[in-house]
Order: sequence, then structure tokens, then C-alpha cells
Amino acid sequence: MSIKIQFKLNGEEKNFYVKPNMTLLELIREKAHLTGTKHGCGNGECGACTIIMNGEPVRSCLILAVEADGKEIITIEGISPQNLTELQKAFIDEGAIQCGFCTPGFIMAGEALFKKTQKPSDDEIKESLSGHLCRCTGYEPIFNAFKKVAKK
Amino acid sequence: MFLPFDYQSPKSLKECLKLISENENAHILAGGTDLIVNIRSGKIIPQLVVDIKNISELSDIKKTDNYIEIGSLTTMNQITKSSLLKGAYYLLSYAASIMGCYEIRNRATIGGNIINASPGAETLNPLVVLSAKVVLESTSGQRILSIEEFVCGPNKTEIKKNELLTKILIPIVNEEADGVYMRRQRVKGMDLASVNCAIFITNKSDIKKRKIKISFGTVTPKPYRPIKVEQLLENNKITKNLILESVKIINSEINPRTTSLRASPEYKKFMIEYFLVEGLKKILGEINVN
Ligand SMILES: Cc1cc2nc3c(=O)[nH]c(=O)nc-3n(C[C@H](O)[C@H](O)[C@H](O)COP(=O)(O)OP(=O)(O)OC[C@H]3O[C@@H](n4cnc5c(N)ncnc54)[C@H](O)[C@@H]3O)c2cc1C
Ligand code: FES
Ligand code: FES
Repeated sequence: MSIKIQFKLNGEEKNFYVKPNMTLLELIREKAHLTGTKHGCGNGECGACTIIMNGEPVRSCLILAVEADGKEIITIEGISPQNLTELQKAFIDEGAIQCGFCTPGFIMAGEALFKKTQKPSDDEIKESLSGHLCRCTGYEPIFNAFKKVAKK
Repeated sequence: MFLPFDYQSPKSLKECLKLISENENAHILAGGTDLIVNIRSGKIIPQLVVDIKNISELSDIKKTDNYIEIGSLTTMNQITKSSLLKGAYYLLSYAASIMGCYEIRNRATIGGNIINASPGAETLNPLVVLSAKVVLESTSGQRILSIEEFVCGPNKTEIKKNELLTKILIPIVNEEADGVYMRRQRVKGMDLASVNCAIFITNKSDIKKRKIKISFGTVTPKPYRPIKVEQLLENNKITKNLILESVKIINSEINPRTTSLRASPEYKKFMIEYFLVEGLKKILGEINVN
């Protein structure tokens, strides 16, 4: 059984035929060929697959592709296609990227946070980072990048 | 990709109840934060997944004459923000606000948390002390059970294959009341609770009328209510000796498993006294237990 779904992906209406047992993460990476969204744990624990669905950050590895029907989805490729965002620039300035695998997830969490509050407190920043794992940086530079944007 | 299954997304409760009554191996999909994990691990192999997110009547919180009614599909972030779950009921919205992480809370529902019934499930202890009830519906009608009767053990509840959990009812308390929820976890970031506890007290300033309800998670297979201790503490001045006696009673009644990944039985037993003292202090103000 394949199901036809239609949704907005990074601003463009898209149609796909998907099997019910495909995850949204698989759809994004393997059918839409947007590989910025990463497959880390596949169990909701690492945050690498974070996307924004109807304005809220969610984990695409825990969502079925069919559930995207009628939704508006933004991936890392869609947040600012032309220029880097303030947060992306801050990641570079603060050395918050090493291997880069976790970065799209952190940036998506950050985009959602800064949309809600322009000047999040330290605790609010930590709270938004808390569900994201990074094996390289030790988190400090990532926190600093968030702080840098929060100060502006 | 998982083993193949079919998918349905009913638009009404009636349609959903019909679907699950006709399909033995249907699995309800709410937020998916437990179900998808279990499908991936092979613990659940569904033939049909019934997504209930298009049934709009399942996701709101409202106040009726006797209850605060929470739709089973209400997410943790919705519960956190609800203006109806403040004051005496705040312990539930606090529990919802600290589970998982922000992105998980955007999807995780209260219904899924109850049905999954993990030993440390965030909402179970608050619901027990708030005397919550669950509403179960099927094509043959409705049943209402107390949360204590409903949850039987890890991942086990009284729900039948053809039933849907539609609502959670929290009795409105008219007396002065206050509650707390506390949890311990291994790391400061995202982690399941190693041990948790909720306490709810009504008529806290009148020792003769005072009622205390206590519930601990992860120390027995289902939420554990130390009923003897509740009675002991209810109408007596709380002293060091009373606390020690309470801890003794609790330790004789619980049997934390030694195979827990998160905390040893010794640690859990240690935390019992801490939670008891800290929880009572938070609600009753300074009590002298040194
Ligand atoms: C990374 C991560 C962190 C987590 N952290 C925590 C935590 O800190 N604390 C905690 O308690 N939990 C935690 N969980 C577990 C999970 O998020 C919660 O148990 C959540 O509330 C489940 O809700 P859901 O809507 O996602 O359920 P689903 O996965 O959709 O469903 C769970 C089960 O309940 C059944 N079900 C759901 N709704 C109904 C209904 N209305 N009627 C009948 N059956 C139904 C489903 O068929 C399934 O068997 C975590 C999970 C992940 C992935
Ligand atoms: S891949 Fe989704 S959270 Fe790790
Ligand atoms: S930079 Fe390598 S995991 Fe974060």
C-alpha cells in the first residue's frame, strides 16, 4: 500500500507516494534528497534529525512519512537558503562545529528557540540544547554561539 | 525501514473505534515517541497503525463541574502551557515540563505516557496523587477506571484491544490543596527518571482534616502508594521519628529490582527518605525533622 501525501517542504509544495513504514527522516533524506538532516540514533535521543514541522521543532526519526501530509516542513536547507543565519555565523565564529554531524539539529533547535524568544536566558538555552548530543565539541562552544545571538 | 504495515488516520472517534474493534493487531499511534521506538526495535510488529492525531476532540483541556478533563492526545507542551493546570494541579504540568526534551514534548502525549506505563513514567505519580481517572471507549460503550486500577505494571494496563483511552479526569479540589513532583535522574540533560515521587495534600493547615497522598515510581512494578504511611502522617505532627517510622514501613513494602539500569535498590531506598522530607517541607513549610 502506497499513500499519496502532499506537504510544503522548505516553501515548495511537494507530492510523494510513500509506504506507511517509511519514516519522515527517510523521506527527507532518500526521496527528497535533502541530506542535511542526519540519521543519528533513530530513537529520538540524539537530536540530529530535528526539523521544524508547523513551526515547532520535532524529531523526524520518530514520525512516519505519511504523517507529513498537509504539513509545513522546514529542514536545515530551508531556513535561510541564500545567506547564513546569525546563529550559523555564530557557530563558525565560536568554533562550535567539529565533525558537523550534530550541527543541523542544534541549528534547527536554535531557530525554533529564537523565534519564540529573542533573548533567551542561559537556562532557556540549556533547555533547548538538552536533547541534543554532540560527541566532539564538549558543548561549551555551542552554548557560546547561542549566547552570542541572544545578546544581539 | 520497518517491516510493512498498513496505516489509517480516522477523522472521528466513531470511525477509530470501529477500526480497532475490527483489527486485532492494530496499534494506536499518538505522538509515536514510544511506538516508533518499539517498532524499530522489533518489540512491536503491527499489521495496522491507527493514527489518532486527526481526531480533534481528543486534544484539549477543559474544566467541567467536577473535573479538569484532559484529552488523551494532549501533548506535554500543551499541558505545560495550560492555564487550567496551575495552583494545586501544578505538579502535573511541572512533570510534563521536565520529561524528555522540548522536541519530544512537542509530540509526546499524556495518553501515550499512561498506556506505555514505564516504571518511571512522568505523569503517573502526579495522576495517582490527584486521584485521576481514565475514560476508555469502545464500540460497546464507555468504562471509567481510577488510574491506580488501570495501571498494572511495566507497559501493562487494563486497556482492551478494542478500547481507546479518550480522556483523563482530574477531580476538582475545592479545599486548600498543594502538591509536588520530584524526580532524580543520572544526568542533568535528557534522561528517564531513576526514581520519582509525587505528594498531594489537602487541608494542609488543618491537621485534623489534613489528607495526604503519596506515590513513588520505579520502586514497585506499578506506582506505589504507601497507604499506611499516608495515614500515619495525615493527622500527626511531622517529626523525625514519624519520618523514620514511615521510611521503615515503606522499605518493608517495596522491592526495587536489582536489574534496573538507572539506580540500585539501595539508592532508591535512600531517595525515599529524601523525597518524603523534601516534599513535605515544600508543601507544609518548615517542619522540624532533625
Ligand atoms: C528521547 C526520549 C525521551 C523520553 N523521555 C521520557 C521521560 O523523561 N519521561 C517519560 O515518562 N517518558 C519519556 N519518554 C517516553 C515517551 O516519550 C512518553 O511515554 C510519551 O508520553 C509517549 O506518548 P506518545 O504520544 O508519544 O505515545 P505513542 O508512542 O504514540 O504510544 C505509546 C503507546 O500507547 C498506545 N496509545 C497511545 N495513545 C493511546 C490512546 N489514546 N488509547 C490507547 N492506546 C494508546 C500506543 O499504541 C503505544 O502502545 C521518552 C521517549 C523518548 C524517545
Ligand atoms: S536520529 Fe532522530 S533523534 Fe537521533
Ligand atoms: S561536532 Fe561532531 S558531533 Fe557535534
